[in-house]
This record gives sequence, C-alpha cells and structure tokens, in this order.
Amino acid sequence: MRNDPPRLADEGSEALRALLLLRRAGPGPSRSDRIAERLAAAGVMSATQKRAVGKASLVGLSLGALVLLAAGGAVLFTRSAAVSPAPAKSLSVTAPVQALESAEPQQAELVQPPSIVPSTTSAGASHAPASEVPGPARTVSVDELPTVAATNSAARRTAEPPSNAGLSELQIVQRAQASLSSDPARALELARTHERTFPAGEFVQEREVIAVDALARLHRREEATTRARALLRHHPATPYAARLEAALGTPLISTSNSEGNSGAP
Amino acid sequence: MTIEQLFSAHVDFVWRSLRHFGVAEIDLDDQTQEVFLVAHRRLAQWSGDQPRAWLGAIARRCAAAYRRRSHRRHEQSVEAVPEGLAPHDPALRAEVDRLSRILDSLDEDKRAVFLLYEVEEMTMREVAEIVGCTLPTAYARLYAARRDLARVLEEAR
Repeated sequence: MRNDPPRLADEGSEALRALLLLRRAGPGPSRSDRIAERLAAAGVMSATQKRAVGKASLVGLSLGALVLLAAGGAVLFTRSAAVSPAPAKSLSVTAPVQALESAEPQQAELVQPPSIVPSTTSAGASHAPASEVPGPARTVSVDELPTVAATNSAARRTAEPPSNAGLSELQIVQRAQASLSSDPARALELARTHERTFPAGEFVQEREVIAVDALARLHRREEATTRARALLRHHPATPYAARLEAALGTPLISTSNSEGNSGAP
Repeated sequence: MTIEQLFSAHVDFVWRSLRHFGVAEIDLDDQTQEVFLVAHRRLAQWSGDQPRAWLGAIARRCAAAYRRRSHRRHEQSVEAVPEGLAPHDPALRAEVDRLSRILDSLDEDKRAVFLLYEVEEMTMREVAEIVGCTLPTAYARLYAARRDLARVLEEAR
C-alpha cells in the first residue's frame, strides 16, 4: 500500500535484516509434502497433490521410478537383510529373510519396460494378504515413491510390508476414508489392516479418526469414545479433535481442542 | 480456487504465520494441517478474494486456540536461532539471538503485526484484517514493536 512505512528489510540494521531473513524460512519441501500426505489421508486433498514443484517430478516418475528401483532395489534389499530390524519404525515381527524370498519375483518384474507399469501394480493387487508378505517387497510400490518424506524414507520403506494387496499406507487410509459413509464395517476392517501393517506409520492419527467414525456409525459408541480419548491422550495437539467430536456427536473432555475449530472463521 | 491450489500456493505462508503467532516449532506441521482442514470446511463460504488474508485469519484463530491449550499442556518454549541458519560472525550472531529473544517476548499482538508486515511483506490493511484490529491499531502495534527492538539495538552499543 502506498502509505505503508518503509520495511526494515530495506533499511534496518544488519542484525535486524538477518533476523527477518531467518524468520522467512519455511517448512521446506519434505515437511510440506508430509502435511499434504496427511491431508490426503484425511480425505481433504487429492492424493497426488504436491507443492507446485512436485508436479514436474511426478511426470518423470513412472519411467524414472523403474530405473531407480532396478538400480536401487538391490541396495535396499541388501541393507534390510544386513541391518538388524531395530531402526525400522514399524517393522513387523516376521523375519526379513522370508520377505526377501517372496519379494524377489516382484522385483524382477520391475526391470521390465515401463509399459508394464499398470500390470505390475495390478499384479501386486492380487498378491497374498499383508500379514503374509511383509518386508522390503514394499519398496516396489511406484505409487509410494513421490510421497515419501526424505527424512525417514529409508526406515519407512524397509519397514512397510507390501500391505493389503500391494496398497501403500496412504492408499489403505484413503480407501478406508472413502468407504466410511457407504460401508463403515469395511472402513473399520481397513483401519485394522492399517494398524496391523503400519503400527507406527505416518497416518496413525488419520486411521484412528476413521476407526472412531466407523465405530460410531456402527453404533459401537463406547468403543468409539474410548478410542477417541486414547487418540487425544497420545496426540494432544491433534488437528482432528473437532472431527472426533463431530463423529461422536458429543464434546470430548478437557484435553479436547475443539475450540480450535469453533473459533475459526 | 480448490483446496489443492490453496495448499500449493500458500502452505509456506500458513506455516510461517503460525510461527509468527507463537506456535512452537514442533507443533507447526500439525497446526498447518489444522488450518487447511478448517479452510476445506469453510471453502464454500469464502468469497475467493485475498487468499492470504483469509488463510492468515484462520491461522490466527487456530494459533490462539493452540496457545490456550498448550498453556495448560506445557510452558511455551522460546526457540533459539537454528544452528545451521545463524550468521557466522559471533558478534552479529549474538545480536540476532538477542533480537530474536526480544521479539519472542513481545506480546502476541505486537509480534504478529510486526512479522506479518516485515517478514510476509503484507500491506498494513491486510495485516489489520488478519489480526482482526483497526488500521490505526495495527500501526500502533507495528511502531511499538519496532521501538522495542530499536531499544535493544541501542542498548547493545
């Protein structure tokens, strides 16, 4: 605006300018991508939504991912076999060796030309249930690649089993979200699958919200309330307090952050 | 404008604004998510004008609710300047640290106006709209914040 005073960034002292510069630092791409993923898991945004910069890289991904996986898959597998499972955040109890065996054929398919991408994915969909094929086979999910945050991608990839018929963590949560209103029992089942497959995954809060909502829709109010309270206890800063209350139809006690939403415009 | 477009264009702004409004570093991602959840719910009622002012106002309300909660939960932490970003010159660095602490100790209203104007480079009218005060009040807060910081710089000499 014409009458606004000159800004300190233009005429302040060196220290002030340095301070303003520091305060200009944003979340960075990996943090904001993770927020985007969580919003997608909550059913608020489409799954592929990225910051503007993400779009260009997504185009090259379907081709690039195969090359990358052909080259990098071996490394990942070697690492997960050599390193103890301890660092993996959500590694299931099943032995990695077994996973390696079951993963190998799938890995071989990936070296084929890009034109087979869709069939590879659907081949994954006909795979055995999650609980039977845990381990690094997960790394082949092309869908998963662009959404993995850089900070803990290695831990997550080695930790995540190929999951419910080859679905990524995000896909499971989104399917659960999508079936909430039409088929809450199915949503609850998917939430259980998620809990089993990704006990310490990225979308634990989203999964719990879905479970609470599904239980409430199935008239299992007591379980729904217990689960909602547990979520608030474990994640006092959860963005979903209002959503939990809406699902339950009653306010949740003191730890609730419902005022966070009621006051918003 | 879709929620996806809003997110792409303004996620950095929302995240920083929450920090300007006093949300602790560790809670910024959660609170950013909350702002977009609220925005998504209210999208139909939004005029479509001035997305930053609209999102900023949501961020302010979320941050206010957050502060009420976190006051009960834990003491508000004052954050040091991150290691990797701080200036190398020790004297300058000490001065930036001191200014940063003073800035964080200013009352919420002054600090938010100051940062929205000086860091986000919004117009004073937008700033007033976001913080929910009149234009003259916004000016008064901006100048008060500047005076407080200038005093610190003066004392350091």
